[in-house]
Amino acid sequence: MNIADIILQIVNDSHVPMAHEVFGDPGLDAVFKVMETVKTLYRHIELERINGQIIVFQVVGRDNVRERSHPVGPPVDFAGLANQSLNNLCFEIADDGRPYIRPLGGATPEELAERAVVYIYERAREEFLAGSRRKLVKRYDTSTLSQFSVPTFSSLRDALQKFSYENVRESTCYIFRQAWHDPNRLFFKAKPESLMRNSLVQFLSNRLGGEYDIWPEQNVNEKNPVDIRVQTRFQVNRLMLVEIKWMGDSVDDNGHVTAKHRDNRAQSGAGQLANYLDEQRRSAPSHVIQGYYVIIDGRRRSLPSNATAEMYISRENGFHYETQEIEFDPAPHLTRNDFDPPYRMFARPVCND
Amino acid sequence: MNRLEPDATFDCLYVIKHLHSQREGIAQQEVHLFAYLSCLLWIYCERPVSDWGYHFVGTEHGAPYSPEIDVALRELLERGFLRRIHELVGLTKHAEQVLYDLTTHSINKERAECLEAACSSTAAFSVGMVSSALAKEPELSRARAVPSRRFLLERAAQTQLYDQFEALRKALQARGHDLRLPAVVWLTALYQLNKATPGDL
Repeated sequence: MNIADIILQIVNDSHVPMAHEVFGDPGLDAVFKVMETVKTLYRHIELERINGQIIVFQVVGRDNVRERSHPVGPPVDFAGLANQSLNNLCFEIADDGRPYIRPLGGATPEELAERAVVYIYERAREEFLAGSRRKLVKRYDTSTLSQFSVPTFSSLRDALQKFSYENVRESTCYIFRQAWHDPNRLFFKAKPESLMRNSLVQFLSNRLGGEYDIWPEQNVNEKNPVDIRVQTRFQVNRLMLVEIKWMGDSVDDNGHVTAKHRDNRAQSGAGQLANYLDEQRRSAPSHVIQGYYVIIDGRRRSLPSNATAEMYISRENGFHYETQEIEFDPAPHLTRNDFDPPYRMFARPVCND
Repeated sequence: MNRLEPDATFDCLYVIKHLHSQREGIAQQEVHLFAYLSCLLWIYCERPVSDWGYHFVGTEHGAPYSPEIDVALRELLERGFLRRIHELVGLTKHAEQVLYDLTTHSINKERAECLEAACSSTAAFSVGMVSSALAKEPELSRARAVPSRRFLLERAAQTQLYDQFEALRKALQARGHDLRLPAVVWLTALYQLNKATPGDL
């Protein structure tokens, strides 16, 4: 598909052109105001803790003073919602541009949309309504629940820590989830490295600010590519190398174990990254180079020798390694200042107790 | 003291003000990025790139960079118009007042529309997504493919860009003059161009 076709498809299928087509320029103002408000809201609340729907709307085309919205009560301070148990939130953006809690009463979102741009979120499904039309919002970041809850990090360290918590811990990323052989997340598929790398590449591309360039699989010598190379766009002498290794057991399509990676694997990866850093320093002596070692930890205790369809694991065995740090010897992160402490990311299983 | 280029200075203040409302602070490189997007929207409006007031080069990594923006950022920091927030920057109160005054000048109206549309795209995308999308823009993707520092938006190189804008104008026929609409549609298209989107629901 060429870009002209893609543009046409977007104009026909997405919410911003829809709001403009239905309500004209006021519709465009409203859809941007709603998106900005939703983004602000999602900086303060955890979407996983929301039960029911979130609705945010702005009425369009109130022509005279009598029709203007008269908010009841003060505008909402989203920060105050952070630790509350939340069900079915509904906010109206009033004429002053601020959000107010507005119970829907007996009205439906469809009725509201006759004169408003309406956003609805429910269980990771987002759509906009305007007039009699509705459009789903395309979610480009597979690890988030909303297209409007993708944060921007200003450092690779912050981003890696968040990747561990958001993508790996519960295997929430669509790409990362494909690395598992079974739904209970006990065995990895054979050679899951590329899926893990793609998951991290997508995460970093979407969430690091505009100052970083992310390059997957970049050669550091004739033979070996480092998993991800991150460069700052303007400080051209800054270079960050990210190496990913995984621990745990992998199986082929028939359930036969293909690899069992434990501490030795983590150790060898640390040595590998240290070598990459040395080689880079030799080939680019004027660069400031830093190494980041990511270990995806899918170890489980007492797994069966082969994967079967009905596999379960107890909580005790499934989480046994969650808090067991790896002892490195040698430990490059303790002896050299260009090697960050390893980022071990434990991927939790689904347990039967 | 370096001479400040007036348009670049206005653009720095405008971008930092409008992006800062959503974030703790702005990375200086992001000012170059959004100023460049604004300049592209200027071209979309069929205005000559020479009227933008300053130019951009593509860095070895395929990023837009303007020497005039760079000077403006450094001078604005030195003269107390910008404040440092760790490694990021934000406007001081004084700078906000100056920006307010400058924005009311009719001479800045047209460029403010482009800047506003560029910054508003962050309502629909994260800054990282805007950056990823813009990397697919014909000029920057060429700069990335041939890593060497060279001027962007020179006449000879603009054909592909004009073709894309022509397709965009055609698709948005009779949809008004608000640049936020073409900005979001175009960035979405660029983002989709080479991305697999397994998260589509």
